[in-house]
Amino acid sequence: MVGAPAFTGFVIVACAWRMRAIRNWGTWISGCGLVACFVMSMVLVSGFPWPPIDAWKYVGLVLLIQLLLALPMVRWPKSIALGALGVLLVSAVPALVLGIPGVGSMGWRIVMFVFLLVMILVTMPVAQRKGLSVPLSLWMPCSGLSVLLLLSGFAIAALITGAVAAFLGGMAVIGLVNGNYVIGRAGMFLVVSTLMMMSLVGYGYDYDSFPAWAWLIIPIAPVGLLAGELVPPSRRTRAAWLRIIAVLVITGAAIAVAMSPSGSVDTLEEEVDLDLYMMDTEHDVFDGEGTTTA
Amino acid sequence: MKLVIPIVIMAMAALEGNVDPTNHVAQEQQQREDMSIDKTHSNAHFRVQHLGAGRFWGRFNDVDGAISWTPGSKDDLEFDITIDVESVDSGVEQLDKHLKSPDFFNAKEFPNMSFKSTSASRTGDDLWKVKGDLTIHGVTKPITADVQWLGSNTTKRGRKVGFEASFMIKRSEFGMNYGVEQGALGDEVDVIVAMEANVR
Repeated sequence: MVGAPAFTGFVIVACAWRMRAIRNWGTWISGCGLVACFVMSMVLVSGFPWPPIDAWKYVGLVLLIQLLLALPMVRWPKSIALGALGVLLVSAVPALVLGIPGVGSMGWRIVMFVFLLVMILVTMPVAQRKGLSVPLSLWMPCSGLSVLLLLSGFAIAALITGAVAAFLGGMAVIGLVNGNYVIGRAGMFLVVSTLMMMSLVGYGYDYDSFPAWAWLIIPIAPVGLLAGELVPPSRRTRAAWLRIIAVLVITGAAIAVAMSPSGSVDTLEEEVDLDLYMMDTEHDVFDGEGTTTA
Repeated sequence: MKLVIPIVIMAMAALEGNVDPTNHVAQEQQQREDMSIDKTHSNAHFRVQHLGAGRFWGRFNDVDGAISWTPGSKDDLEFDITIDVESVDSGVEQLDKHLKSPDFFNAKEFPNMSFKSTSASRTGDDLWKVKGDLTIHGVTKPITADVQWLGSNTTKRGRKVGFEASFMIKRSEFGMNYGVEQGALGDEVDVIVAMEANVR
């Protein structure tokens, strides 16, 4: 559910970075890996009914469209106009396609568009930073969001977001092994987009498990990557630490808000039937003569 | 001796408490009755295999709709039933949230389940096979429900009629396949809908 999609995404990116011919597409390849991981996880967990019954399942379609629209961004900054058009289109897709309950109004759609546009522009300078700090930093809000989704009672979304988090963990490993690895602009905005959409999914379908702020702070966490830009480019290690700490603080703030007494902390203290979340479990099956373990 | 045998038969019938079971429904009035569901005394129960070990029971407390029938008729029994998904009640609030989430019923997008009958045929004294369209999670499938007429009574507040419907569905056919592949939760769900209706 989590491992196979994350590994698939990892293999796509790792192979691409080993092949000189497609290394120039590196900025797009990370996005390919992420979308492959997301869609594969979604299909494994909830099948492939088409058209999707539930509105949130269009998140996979949105990511696929965004990935295709990101192609012009490979040319960035050689063609500013093409890149800018790509950013605008990519930012608009979730607002145009998604119809999640509670956040489907025109006002929410405008907020979605503006938020994603701002997040893409803000995080764009960091997308080309080399090493493990960027993917490792992005792993944190994805993991945090996965936990929030699980606690809110939406296990499928938690598993999918968890798969994306695991994929980003794999990217951090690639960054550790290959110091030249960059997540790239396309990879970066697809992570930002995934965080925003899955946070909205969590917020839209939630039954007051957490204060709304918890869902809204999580997708802002990548802004913390900018902390690394406060130090001179020559001090790469300090910049990497600043990125990681800043994103960790924002993610931690979101978790703290979720667990705060003003939230529905009583629901968290309630006994949760973890059996329901245990997907890979052995059980006995009556075979007519005796019991066998399946 | 000629007198004893009829007396014994009559005594046995009296002990059974049902002198003429074959005419149970037929004795009802033949006039068509249109009824509204008594929401207070109607609910729907479901059970599903859990982790290959036991059966998990839950219920929906808010059942509404209309029933029409002609007592004694062979085919005049109609149901138009709606169940509020938000009224799901497992006895544990966190489980209710999970059942209402898109993992299962997705109550925010699909707040109601419904059953609208298309045909009915009487199979016994008080038993019916009712065919109709069941809509759950935005997916509509034809099903056949076994319906039992439980009784009728005229009270000071009017005439009441009771039915119980039972059927089985595969939840994956309604787009709810969470845990099916892994065997965490069964695919087949037994449903019992207990209905009391007030004649209008």
